[in-house]
Amino acid sequence: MEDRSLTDLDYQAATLSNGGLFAIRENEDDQHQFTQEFRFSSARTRDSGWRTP
Amino acid sequence: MSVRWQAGVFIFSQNYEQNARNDISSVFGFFPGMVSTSSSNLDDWGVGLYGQADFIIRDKLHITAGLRFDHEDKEADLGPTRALATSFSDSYAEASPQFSVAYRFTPDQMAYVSVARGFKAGGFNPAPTGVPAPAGTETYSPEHTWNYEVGHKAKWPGNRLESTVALFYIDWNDLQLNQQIPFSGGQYFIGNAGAANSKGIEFETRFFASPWWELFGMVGYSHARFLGNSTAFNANLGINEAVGGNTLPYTPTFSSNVGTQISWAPSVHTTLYLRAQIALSGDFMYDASNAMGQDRYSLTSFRGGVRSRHWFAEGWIDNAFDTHYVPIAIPYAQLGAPSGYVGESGAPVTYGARLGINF
Repeated sequence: MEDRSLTDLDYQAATLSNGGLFAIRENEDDQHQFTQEFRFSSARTRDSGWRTP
Repeated sequence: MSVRWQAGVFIFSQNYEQNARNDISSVFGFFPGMVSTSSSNLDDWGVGLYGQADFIIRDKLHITAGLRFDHEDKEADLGPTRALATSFSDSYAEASPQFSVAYRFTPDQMAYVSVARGFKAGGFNPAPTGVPAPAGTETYSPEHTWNYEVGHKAKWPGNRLESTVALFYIDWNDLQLNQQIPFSGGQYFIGNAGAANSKGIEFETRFFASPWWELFGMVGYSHARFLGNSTAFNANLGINEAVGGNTLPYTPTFSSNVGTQISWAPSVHTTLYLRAQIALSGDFMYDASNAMGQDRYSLTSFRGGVRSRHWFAEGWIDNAFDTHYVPIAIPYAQLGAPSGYVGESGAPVTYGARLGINF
């Protein structure tokens, strides 16, 4: 096992000024979400102050 | 004896669409340029029904029983382009019970034990771009847990000391684990790693040393391991390897938080306060291979200010001693990271001030 407090951050991305090398990623994301909750409970008699898990 | 009950219905729907394109240039004519695309369309809807009854006997004994039904329908169109996509569909259903017993010795002290079944539906992974998905990783199976907990909560005489202690045990089956596709440059899929368990203890306390001085702290210990036949992709080696006995990723062995706050009210409407806090994190691993991790570290923060009825002013410092740590990192050896991982550093020392008015 190898532990290091610092991990490399120094990787180099290819750029247009880098001898004409390039790597381009185009990404289109589209997300829709719908949630609905209905709750029913018995009449509350009093608050015990403790929530059971 | 009295009975209280609660019931509910939960419905949701979700659609996720992703179209991606990677365009990589020729490398000095040695390798040809490469354009690759992927298209994913994921549809998901589900319904959950739950009910819970709480039987209270002589005001001291609480017996709670609950049951939840879940049903989820999922569809996915995955492929290199929308026209070439393959369709998948599946549905998942489960009944998950829960049960707990709590006893209040006095109005200020209670002990409890609880057992609950947990469920996460299976599903489909978006198609990766530029690399093939490893065989069989288009889909993943449902994950199940059994969660057991025993605990005690108390306020001690004079109400100056509060304490909570809890012992827990979590037993996973078909654990859904985020795993990196080898050679993909950081594209992930969810795959069932196998079985795992986690056991631990948490202790939390608050002490009011005087009306203006509060001390607080928590410490937690957990032992979270993959079991026997578990496997996970090692993106640095490009293989699906055995991980039985390894630590679950991003799960520190211990964590702790201690702090103190002093406050002083020179007038009815004005309060001055100063708060100091140290958060300690134990060592943890970046992935299931346990090849690399973060050592234990601590972060100290200070906050102080003055609050009045109509205005407030506050100054704060986070990570006051500029601890350097890397809370998240991914395998990257095949794409050239010398250590095998690329990480993102945590925030350095950060400070600020806030002024405001209330009206």
